[in-house]
Amino acid sequence: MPRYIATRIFSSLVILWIVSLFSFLLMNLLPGDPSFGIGGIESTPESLAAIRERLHLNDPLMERYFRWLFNALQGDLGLSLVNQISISDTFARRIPATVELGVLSLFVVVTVAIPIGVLAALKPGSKREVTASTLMIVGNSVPEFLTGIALIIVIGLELNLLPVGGYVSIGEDPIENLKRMAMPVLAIALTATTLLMRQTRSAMIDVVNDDYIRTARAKGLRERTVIVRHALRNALIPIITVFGFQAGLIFSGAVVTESVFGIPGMGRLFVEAVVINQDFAVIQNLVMFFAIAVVAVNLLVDLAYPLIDPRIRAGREGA
Amino acid sequence: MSSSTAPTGSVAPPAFSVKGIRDRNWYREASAILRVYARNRPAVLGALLLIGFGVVAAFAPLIAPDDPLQTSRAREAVFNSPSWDHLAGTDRLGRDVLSRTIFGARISWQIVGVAIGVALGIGVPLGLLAGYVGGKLDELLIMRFVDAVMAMPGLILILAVVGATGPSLTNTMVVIGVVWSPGYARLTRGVVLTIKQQAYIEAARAIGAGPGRIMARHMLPNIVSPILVLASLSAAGIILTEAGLSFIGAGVQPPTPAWGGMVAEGYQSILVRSAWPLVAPAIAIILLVMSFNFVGDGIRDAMDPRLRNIR
Repeated sequence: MPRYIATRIFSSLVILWIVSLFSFLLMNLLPGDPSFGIGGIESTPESLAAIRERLHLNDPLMERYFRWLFNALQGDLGLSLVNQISISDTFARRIPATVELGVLSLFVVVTVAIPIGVLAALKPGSKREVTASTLMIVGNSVPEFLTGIALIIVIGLELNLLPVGGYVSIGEDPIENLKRMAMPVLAIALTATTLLMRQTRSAMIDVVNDDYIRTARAKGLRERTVIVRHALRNALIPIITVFGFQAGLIFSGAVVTESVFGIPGMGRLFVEAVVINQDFAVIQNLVMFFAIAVVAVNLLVDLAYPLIDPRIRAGREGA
Repeated sequence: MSSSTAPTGSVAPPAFSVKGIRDRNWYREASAILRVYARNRPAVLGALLLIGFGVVAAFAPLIAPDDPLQTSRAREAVFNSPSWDHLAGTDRLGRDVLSRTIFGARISWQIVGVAIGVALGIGVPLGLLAGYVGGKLDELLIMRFVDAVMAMPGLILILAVVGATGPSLTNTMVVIGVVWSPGYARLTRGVVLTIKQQAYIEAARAIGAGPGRIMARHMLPNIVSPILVLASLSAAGIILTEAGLSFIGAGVQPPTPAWGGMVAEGYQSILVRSAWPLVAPAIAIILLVMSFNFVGDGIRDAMDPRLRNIR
């Protein structure tokens, strides 16, 4: 067990290290000189040189990489290239909205997808099941921003049930916060839900015809116990395996959805940094933020395996 | 992206069979696959829709009623609701939305084609090498890279690269392809690992075939069918990604009629004027993605021999 945990943590760190190299090199090897952007049109060669000196742009690449890494580990992400604001401060202001969006979406996805996926698996091949899985593919084909816009038009503008757009922090007014989060969460959750539903369904279909399920039924256990305690528990491994992928989907969804609903989160910041500001320093750190978020979810999933499956606890790891 | 599509039913006949027998086996295999596919109604519908989208894209200048870039500032020409003159209405610049949607199909096909081409060109050789050579090259270099890229959400990586290089049609196509390539590498490697030990590969090696020939002549054909499924499903993902990118302004730039960008332009005016400009491109995105999903699912089911005798 300790060995298993150590390997998983180590490989997560390796992935993060590769991503850090990637995002640093991507932002620093491309042609272009950020000092122009800061100095503006009136800058002289001397003032540009001063800016380059201040940003350490003349230092060797590796030195800059390790300085960035070292400072980041201490919570200092440097300054924005566009407005000289501390990136750490910006992140601190922007992170709560995105984390809330992510956690709520994941919650909706899990509570909706797993029960429906299980139900769809109980009668494979039946008319209802075929309809359900066809609907899942349809739901899977709608991009988040279209779901979001449809919700805004129907629930927000026509029915006037929920306020459209904007963000109120949860500390300020929890009710208003949830009202404004409801539509973005639904928009993100729809795509991720259909995927998890399909995964749950196929994982359940794989186990419901196994011998031990027949045995459990033969023992006279209630159908509910058979499904939940025997079948679902065994199907859970392939189900939670897609969680990491789900987290990726939810964060990508946040990037687009925050733009649709005007939520000032990390996703919106990413779009601003890429499309409007071309702020390399911010982008470089944003890539790391999303990488850490996704890798962390994957690590949690890996660490959850042994809790669910005693075979892994006993040290007999699968592939 | 489902990477677990096992190539069970479609392993090519042994290399030593006489050509005639091989052809007949191939024919029987193909017609069995087609029979299962034809029973799957959504898959057939998806295939028909794809053909439709293909025709629309190919003959866009003949089909489109208007010039997709022709603007008109006249008050009565902008934000028209659908009418016989403009079946899908006009947008804020007075352009015919239907014509723009029709020309947008060309952009979508172009992006899918180039992106999948790039993904195949990088992923399949990497996967072949990783699976065939194995050892350190596989473990340390290729698969680590694949894991790292796959650990990241595609959109985040693509946005980072677009942030560095600036948005354009070419960048969008190539970057999406690069980000999708690890999926192809992993799938190819998986297939190679399962067939590496089979007798016909050993036989080929015994009669003196080199690694290049073995990979190209004996391994590649086995990869074709699972790759077809992955290509179809990833086409759906590529359209979704491109639409999202163009929607946030980091993909194809206006005035090029990309569906995602058209939805974004339309969205800016739903509060003040009309939601009509975004309806046609929105429907087009959903239909095209759905078609690719249905076709991919249909091919996968049709190639699964376990499903061949039921129903």
